[in-house]
Amino acid sequence: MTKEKICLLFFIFAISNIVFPFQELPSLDVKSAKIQVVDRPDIDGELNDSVWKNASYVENFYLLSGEKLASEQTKVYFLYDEDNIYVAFICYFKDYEAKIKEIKENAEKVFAGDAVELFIDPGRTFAYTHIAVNPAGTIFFSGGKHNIVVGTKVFQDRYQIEIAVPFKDIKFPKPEEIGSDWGINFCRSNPKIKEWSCWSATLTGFHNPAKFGILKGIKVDNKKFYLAQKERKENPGNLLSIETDRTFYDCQKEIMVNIRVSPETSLKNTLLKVQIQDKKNKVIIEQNIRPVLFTNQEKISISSLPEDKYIINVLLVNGENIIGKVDKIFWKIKPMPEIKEKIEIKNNVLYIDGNPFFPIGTAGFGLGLGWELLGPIKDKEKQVQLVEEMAKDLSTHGFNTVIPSGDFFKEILKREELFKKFASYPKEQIKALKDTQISMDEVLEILKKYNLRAILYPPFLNSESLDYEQIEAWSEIMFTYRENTTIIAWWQSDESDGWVERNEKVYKLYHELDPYRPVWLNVINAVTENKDAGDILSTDPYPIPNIPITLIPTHADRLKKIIGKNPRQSFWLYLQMYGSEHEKKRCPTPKEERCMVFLSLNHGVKGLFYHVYQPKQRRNKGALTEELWQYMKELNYQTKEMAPVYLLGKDVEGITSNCNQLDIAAKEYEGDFYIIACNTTEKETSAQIIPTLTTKLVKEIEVLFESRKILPKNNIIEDNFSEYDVHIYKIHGGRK
Amino acid sequence: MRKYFYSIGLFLFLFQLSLLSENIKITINSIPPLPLENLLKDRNPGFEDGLKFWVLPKDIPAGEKIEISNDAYKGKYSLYVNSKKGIGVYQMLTGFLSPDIIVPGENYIISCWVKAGEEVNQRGGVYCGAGSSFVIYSSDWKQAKSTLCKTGNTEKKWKKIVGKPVEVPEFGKVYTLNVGTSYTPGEAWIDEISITKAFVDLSFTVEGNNILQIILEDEIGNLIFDSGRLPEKTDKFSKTLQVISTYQYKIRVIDNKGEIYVQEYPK
Repeated sequence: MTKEKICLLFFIFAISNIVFPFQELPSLDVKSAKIQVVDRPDIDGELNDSVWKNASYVENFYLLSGEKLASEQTKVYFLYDEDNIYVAFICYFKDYEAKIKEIKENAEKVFAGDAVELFIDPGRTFAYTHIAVNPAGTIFFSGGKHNIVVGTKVFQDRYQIEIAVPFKDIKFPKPEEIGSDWGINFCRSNPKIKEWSCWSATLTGFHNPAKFGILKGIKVDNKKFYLAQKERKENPGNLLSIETDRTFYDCQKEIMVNIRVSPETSLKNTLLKVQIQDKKNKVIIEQNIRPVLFTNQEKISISSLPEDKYIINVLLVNGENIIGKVDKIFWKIKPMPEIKEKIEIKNNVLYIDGNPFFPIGTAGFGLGLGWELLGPIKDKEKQVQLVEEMAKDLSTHGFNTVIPSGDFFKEILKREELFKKFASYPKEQIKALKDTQISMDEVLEILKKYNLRAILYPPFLNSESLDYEQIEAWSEIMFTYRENTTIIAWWQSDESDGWVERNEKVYKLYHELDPYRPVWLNVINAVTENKDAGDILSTDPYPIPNIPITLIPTHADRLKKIIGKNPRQSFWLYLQMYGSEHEKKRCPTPKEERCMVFLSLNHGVKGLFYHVYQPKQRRNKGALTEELWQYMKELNYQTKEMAPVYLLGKDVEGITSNCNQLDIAAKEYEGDFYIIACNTTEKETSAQIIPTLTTKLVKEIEVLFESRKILPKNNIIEDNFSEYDVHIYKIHGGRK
Repeated sequence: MRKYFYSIGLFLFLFQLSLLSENIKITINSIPPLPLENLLKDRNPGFEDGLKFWVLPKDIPAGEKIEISNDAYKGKYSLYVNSKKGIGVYQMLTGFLSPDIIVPGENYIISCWVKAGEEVNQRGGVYCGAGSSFVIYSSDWKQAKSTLCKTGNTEKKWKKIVGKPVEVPEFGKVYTLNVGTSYTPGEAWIDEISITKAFVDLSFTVEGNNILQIILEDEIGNLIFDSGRLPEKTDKFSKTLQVISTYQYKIRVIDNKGEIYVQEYPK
């Protein structure tokens, strides 16, 4: 035997130990559990159909760790026919009153209370399907849309859940990869008594297919279901496709359904059935369309529907035959109460309660516990203290707006698996969420205390294509926070330039759930493409030290040209307030930062965010210097002082200079005249600033924030500019 | 004898009438006719001549690849790239695309076929991903305008990517054509790069009995024209509209009996 072969054997041995440890897995023989279609049980939670008497079953649920039996036990029955798997869970409990309360409180949230979970892995390829159902009948399905039917019933000592899972909803591997045994596991999540139990103990969490039990003797036409799924995936909506005017409906009386039919042959004798089903797949409204056209539009009255999740199901039928089928989920929701403050954009400026608001904001407002940036802080009081310190630090340095870290959204943990799919650093982010004791609600209260406003960035939509599970998870967070008065806007996405269609869709979703607050999108460059994907658009030019500082006006001009055309939209800039060795960036000097700010303002920007805040424990570690941070107090003061001039003042054209490295703007505001000149280079210069012939500078001119005055000579301002200097000239009483 | 001729004549007349009543006639054409000639046809746009005309980057990072592959959409070869940040080949078209071929003021469109792996993405912008770009410069290189056809992951299936029409500016004197991946990791195959005039005027006429609806779709199923439900007893419908030149089009007609009639253009 060669050395390579020996190594290979060792490798295979090692791998097999990881995947199939020696511990024996339980098995369930279902040879006799196949039933005829005519004998299908009624899915009602009763389990009184005679067919259940011959079902295969398992009992003795162990805790996840496998160490001992669960104190509240579960028994599971299994049947199947040629189309479906039927599973019945009987879940015993000790305290009826407590269980009823728990079920009521968590009716809509599958993972928040007692629930059963089913994992099915055809052929043991580890590509499994996950289904969870709670005693209120709410379903979670890992594959998005489904045709699963459930029935539930609660008794004095137990609840029963009966589930019919169509094979066509189960993920099938390629027929050549499928073995005769399947992986399966039946689990129960019982958080109130802190018990997570299962038939086959999975040790590290339910999602461990190597530890699923083995289903033996199941006879299914694997190839048929695999090919059907492949066909569906490759030709989505080939024959039928459906669009609705919204995803969330609040006070709308009707839903507008557009159905496209793309037949290759005849539509003779066909009709379209448009059904609305509740979340248990019961048809509650049905309308027919005849004759069927290529494009069909149907209005369906939904005013009588209670708030809930629904499915629009469209069937193309010919007599008894269903030729095509397509569906879409929508939600009927409670209308959002109007928020007390009116937040609106007029003439590109954000107004809060009729007052212009110039946001000076930053992100980086978090504890960074996933990376232990501030150390391992487990204690809640200490966490609150740190958040308070940060809020105070920002407030005293003149910031008025904060984007709190996503680590404060404790709700994410209810959908941990889903979150991990879209997280950039799942391990660290989950650690941060678990270690964070302070909730977003508490953070918002602290921000309010320090006169800081919040822009929230709710999770789950961070992908190009969105499924209903993501939308549902995101909407739960929106419902939780949308009435919080500290929030002034939603941040929909960061640097998602290329996801134009998705950005527009997400923008629309935000306004369906919150019609009152603006939605902000930050992109790298693609402003034109994304101009319809936000109320506020921004870009994030970070030029220091390798790019000329004129990158800032270039970005501002582009935003103004594209977004400025629509007075109902605003445009902000994200400015550099950091350095990074890896990115070859240096933290700007105070002079560079001030120059960037006034270049932004000279070119019409209506809000400034800074990347990125660092609490005092982390300053001077290369990212944000203490020098710049201390200067931000003065700079933000100047920005606030000048904000009304820039937001409400009138542009004055025709101010020129003999020095082309100066960027100059002039404004008239409340009877005074302002000239703002920025040296865009590091070269020192003397410059003359020359007003138009019709402008006469007769008086002494105040140079704002410099405690000096100058006298114009022959109607010309002469001044010296050191590197990146900004001089702001105020002519009291205006021009003559 | 005359009586028999009358009977045969009447039978033939009724037979013709019945044929008309059951048939829908669809006529489609365009000015200029489709498909348009690929302006790059003599510049090795499908890599059938290897890398002839194409310039490789000066420094190919270790472990990255840019080479001719025999996994092609059409013909025998395509360009294969595999990179961490993006890599590509280019060719200068100055001199080749003389003012007689690319005319300032006219609109042109670029397309290509791409097969890209799952790592390839466009999150950073429409200029990211796998595909091709056509950049028009002034003679002093100080002004530029570009159009591109790029995509993210295509699940390793060949997919036609079509750019947006670009009007060639008066300053346009120098042209570069770039093919590969940019601002994205991952591997991709690229084939059949094409530049054509962007638009043609497409006309169609549908004749027959009781036409209920007519739609025009492009080859990826986008709805270009929808007549909506036509008035009862519509027996003729004509339309002319400007369409993108790179697609194949399909007219679908349905009559009041639910019969479907389909015609593709170009066939």
